Amino acid sequence: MLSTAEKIIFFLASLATIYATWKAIDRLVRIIGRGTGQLDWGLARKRLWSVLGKMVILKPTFNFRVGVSLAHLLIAWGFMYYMLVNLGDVLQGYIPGFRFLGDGLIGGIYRLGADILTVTLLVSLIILLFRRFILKPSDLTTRKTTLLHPKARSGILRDSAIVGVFVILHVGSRFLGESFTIAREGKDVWQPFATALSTLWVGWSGLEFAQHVAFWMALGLIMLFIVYFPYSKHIHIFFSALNFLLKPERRSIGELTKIDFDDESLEQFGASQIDQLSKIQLMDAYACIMCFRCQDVCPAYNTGKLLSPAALEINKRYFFNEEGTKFANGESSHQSLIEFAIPLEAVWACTSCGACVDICPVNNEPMRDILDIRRSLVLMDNQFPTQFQTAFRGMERTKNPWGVPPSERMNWAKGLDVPTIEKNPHPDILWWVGCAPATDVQAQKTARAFAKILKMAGVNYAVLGQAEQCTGDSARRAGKEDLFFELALGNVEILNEVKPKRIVTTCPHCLHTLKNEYPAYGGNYEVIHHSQLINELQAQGKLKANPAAAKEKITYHDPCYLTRHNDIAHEPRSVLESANVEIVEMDRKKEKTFCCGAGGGQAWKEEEHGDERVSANRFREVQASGADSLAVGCPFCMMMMVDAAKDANSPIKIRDIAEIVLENIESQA
Amino acid sequence: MSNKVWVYIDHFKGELLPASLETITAGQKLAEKLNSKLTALVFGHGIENLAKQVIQHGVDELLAGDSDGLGAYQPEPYTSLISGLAKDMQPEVILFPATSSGRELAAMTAIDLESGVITDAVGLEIEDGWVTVMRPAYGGKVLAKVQCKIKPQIIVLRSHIFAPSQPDSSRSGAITNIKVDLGDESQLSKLLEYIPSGGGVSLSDANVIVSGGRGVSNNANLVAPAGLDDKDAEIWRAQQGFNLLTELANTLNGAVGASRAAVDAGFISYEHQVGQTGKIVSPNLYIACGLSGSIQHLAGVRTSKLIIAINNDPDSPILTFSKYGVVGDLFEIVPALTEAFRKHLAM
Amino acid sequence: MKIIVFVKQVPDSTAIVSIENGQVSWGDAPLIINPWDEIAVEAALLQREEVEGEVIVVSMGPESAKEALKHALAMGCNQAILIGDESLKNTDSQVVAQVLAAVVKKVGEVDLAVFGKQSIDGEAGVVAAQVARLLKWPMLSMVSAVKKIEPGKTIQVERVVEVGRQVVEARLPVVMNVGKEFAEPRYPSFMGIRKASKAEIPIWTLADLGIAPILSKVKWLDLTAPPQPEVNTEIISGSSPEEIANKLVEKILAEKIL
Repeated sequence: MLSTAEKIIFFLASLATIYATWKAIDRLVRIIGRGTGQLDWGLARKRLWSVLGKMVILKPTFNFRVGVSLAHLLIAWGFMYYMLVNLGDVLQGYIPGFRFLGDGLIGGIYRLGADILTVTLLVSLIILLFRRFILKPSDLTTRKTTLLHPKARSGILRDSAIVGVFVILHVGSRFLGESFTIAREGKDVWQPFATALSTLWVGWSGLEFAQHVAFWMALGLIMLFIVYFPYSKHIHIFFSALNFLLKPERRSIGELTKIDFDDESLEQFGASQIDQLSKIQLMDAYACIMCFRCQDVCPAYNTGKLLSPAALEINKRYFFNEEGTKFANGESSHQSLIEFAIPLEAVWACTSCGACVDICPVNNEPMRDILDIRRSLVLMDNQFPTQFQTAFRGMERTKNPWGVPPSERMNWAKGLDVPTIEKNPHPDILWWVGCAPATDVQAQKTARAFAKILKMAGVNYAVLGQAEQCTGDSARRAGKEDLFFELALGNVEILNEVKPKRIVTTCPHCLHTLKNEYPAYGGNYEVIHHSQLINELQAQGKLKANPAAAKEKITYHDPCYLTRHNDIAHEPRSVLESANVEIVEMDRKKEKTFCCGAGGGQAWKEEEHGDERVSANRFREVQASGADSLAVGCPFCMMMMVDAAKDANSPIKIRDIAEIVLENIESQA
Repeated sequence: MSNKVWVYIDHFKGELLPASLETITAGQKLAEKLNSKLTALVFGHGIENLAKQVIQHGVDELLAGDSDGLGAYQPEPYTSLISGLAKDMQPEVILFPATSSGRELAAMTAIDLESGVITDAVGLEIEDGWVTVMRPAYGGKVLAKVQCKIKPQIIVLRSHIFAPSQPDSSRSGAITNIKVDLGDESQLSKLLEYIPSGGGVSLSDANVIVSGGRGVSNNANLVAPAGLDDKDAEIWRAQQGFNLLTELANTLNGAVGASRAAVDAGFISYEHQVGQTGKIVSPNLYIACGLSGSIQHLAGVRTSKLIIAINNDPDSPILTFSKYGVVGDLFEIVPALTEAFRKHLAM
Repeated sequence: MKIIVFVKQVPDSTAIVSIENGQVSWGDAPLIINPWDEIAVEAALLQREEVEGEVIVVSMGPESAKEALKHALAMGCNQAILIGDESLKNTDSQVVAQVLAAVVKKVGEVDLAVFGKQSIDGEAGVVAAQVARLLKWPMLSMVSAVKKIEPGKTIQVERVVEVGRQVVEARLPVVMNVGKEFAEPRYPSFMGIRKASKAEIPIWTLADLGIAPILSKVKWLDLTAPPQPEVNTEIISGSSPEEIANKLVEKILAEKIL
């Protein structure tokens, strides 16, 4: 229906758009190319179908903010469908009398789809724009104290406004255009909404002119928008898919990259400049939709610390927007990451809980950037909270971050007849005790309870005893990767000699490290949590629970390293249920669990400045659950919760799962 | 009787240092075994009365170096004086007190006299006319019997092993003023200023630390002044508790520490925090009051020689780490302890 | 300004020590740089930051002492030297002092020789003073701070003595030893450790120092390792706070640590 002149102009405009877009994409590709490492396109090929599947209902967005995500889904469906629609419209514009997909059933269904999705898109978009611009919720922005690029605060709003207006105009004018066509050519039973609208202008003389205007509005705007895309967070529509396609395979969200200290050629450890991050980390900045979900779930942000994982990604993105051309050309950024992306205090506030990684709908991993920055601070600049020194020295000299020597490591087992690997060199299962029971009184109770359970069930097990060394998790999370390297190699050597069939541990940090981090160092072990072993033993009938014991109201705090990093949430609960307790769940449970505050090396230092302790925040939730007792599955969670209970003067009993199970078994006298 | 056994006397502003009195006792024992007189060396300026005191504490003779130039202690001239006298009079044993001066003078004298020096003596015996010394090493994990078969045998004592000598005004002895020729050595260093100790001992240096935990605010009998809200009243009560701990610390010339819980609750400032995220300390005596003893706290104090706990919770972890514990109310025990120490230390 | 700092490698303080064949044995407990010497290294490095110069770290010991030297290099010392000789096993303090004095002379033009207060194994704390006497340099012990330093001329320090602190000025060159109050030793940086691990450390023998083997004058006749008492908590009880307090004070005084 386009005139010849229009066709020529449209063609030329398309060429201009393609050119401008190509330049923008080239710039973008070169920006990302400044990152380290390589993108593995083989992974993309492998994952293509599953990622396409993810795009159907956008499952990752529904982790959080369900209503909003539903509206977004309708918009996304509309947007995706419009790729077809725009193609159809251009063809119809160029080929006179052409009806895209024909007049039959298929064409009809196509038009019905377009009609319905147009309306749902417009309605949802208006709702979301209302939310953002009228309701102005705090979870779409960050506190004033957060380090945010000066252009970002207004920039995000402006971007949303431009995109919102564009989509409304683009979709709206196309909708109007259809209604004009219908007004001229007659009702279309397959486009009920457009038909309804068309009744407004049946018989209007300007309809043909209006049709052309609508065409140019709809498709002209698309051409403008494509060029604007690379500067907008709207580009997430491509980059989220790329993120899912290209993320390296990881055994768990917490499995960090290995630095090979035996490689003498390495000069840079960790990342202090933006071009020292990997390509996939730079891509995160383009995928980021600036939705602030990660900030919402961050325990540090929620307790008033300076850390906002969202701000980190947004600052990277704004750096690319503002200074990306120079950066793409090979110039270094004149500011380090600490200066423009995330301040020092925020880096040290992270508890490495992984909530930000878990919640991100576009598969971003801000936690990894933070830990890479820590590595650079520790290894290159020797700059880290002084309190870490004691933990580092302890791990170096006595292989125990609390400084307890190997000779005292088995003191907790006095009187319990716990077999060491010397006495029982080929056990069915190796119990990795960890450093905490070597010293902390609470952890000792857990270990003793578990030892008694193992004995009762007649398990053929052994512990490494004095030969056990710290797994080095604290060193790794604190950025002291060289110490971790030594501990990992040492432990792998010992374990590969022992050749355990399976390993069970009472500490999720040990579990995570042994299971997910050690394979990169030559150690591949099957590792389970003690709650999983207890679950097995119960299923095998080797442990007799007491069903008649008085029902206690217990709430269970999921440890981050058990649940989020290792997907173990079911067995602790089934084990607790077998102990005849009534489980009252907290809101923030399972993968949504809220960190106790000890991770990321925080157990070894004073918390960064904020409104309250992370543990206090979590403990308030424990109190609000109405439970009389709190069950934990990790010695660090235990330490933090016990301290928090004392601070709150609370009578809530805090016990490990093993203690609760043992109490129940022993109650049948 | 010959004057084979010498003791060096360390003093300050006319007072004999306690370590010197212990040295006299040790010297007396050796002198008896060697059938010798006990001779003391006292250097300084205007030391007549001091010399008389030393005689009364039980030495037979005294060599006094009284000179203007000896008014302030300087290692080099003092050493030359001692070694000069020793070359002339050939003592068999010279004992030095467990003070910083004593130790360095002994070391330097040994070089001058081409003999050996033995430190940290906890036991002295005579075998075949030579002194054998028992001394600890490796942080007390090893006990060595050592000997230097060269005269004079130069030995530094360890503190608090030998009993301090008691004065007896009836005793008398010869005081000889020796010639003091100082030479260039006295120009090597100069005392500019002396700063007396006082105004609180710092945690890292302290030999004794009295620490308080959350329990320090837990005095039900204490009524806070009117007008304070709950939180401030708790802090006020805690400060009263810390006052009791400070008195105990002062009696023992020690410092006051605190657990992280007490610091977080606002009871006391962060410089007093002891533990993994505060200061790591290694005092001889650590008294933990109203403090449960979390693992982070204990990591800061585990190398203390003696840990004592006072807590009304018999299950608190600190008790398992203490050699002696009292399960009781710190508000009663701590003042009683302060009183008991005062009485015993004054004796 | 040339500063020389002396370090010793010792078994970690948590090592379980036993007597085997008349010698002290610590099994496979880790060997560490003597913590007091670490403070001395820090003191030396801080002086270098005040006044331009170099810090040379020296240790007398077996091959394993190179680890202590590497730790000091990682902290920032410029050079390291190991003094190793067959005749230097189980020597007494004046042998060590003579050897170290010879090292100072051979290095030449040294302004400041820094020692830690004592080693945690031998615990004698006399070598510094003996080196000073042999070199005829002023000895400044128990230094808690350096207030002023004028290379080639004088140094002003604060010392901790039993009765308080003194400010003493002495003519350079001096020997000094430092206590805990001086400073917290810096944590060796990873880059420092990396560089230090590749460092070539020369070994000087007695022949290199131009001295003949020296005999020890103090002999260790017998060694015992008394059994470490178990910490069995004794709860003190009584009928009144005064009674409990008295019992407790008596027990504490009997430990002879005050």
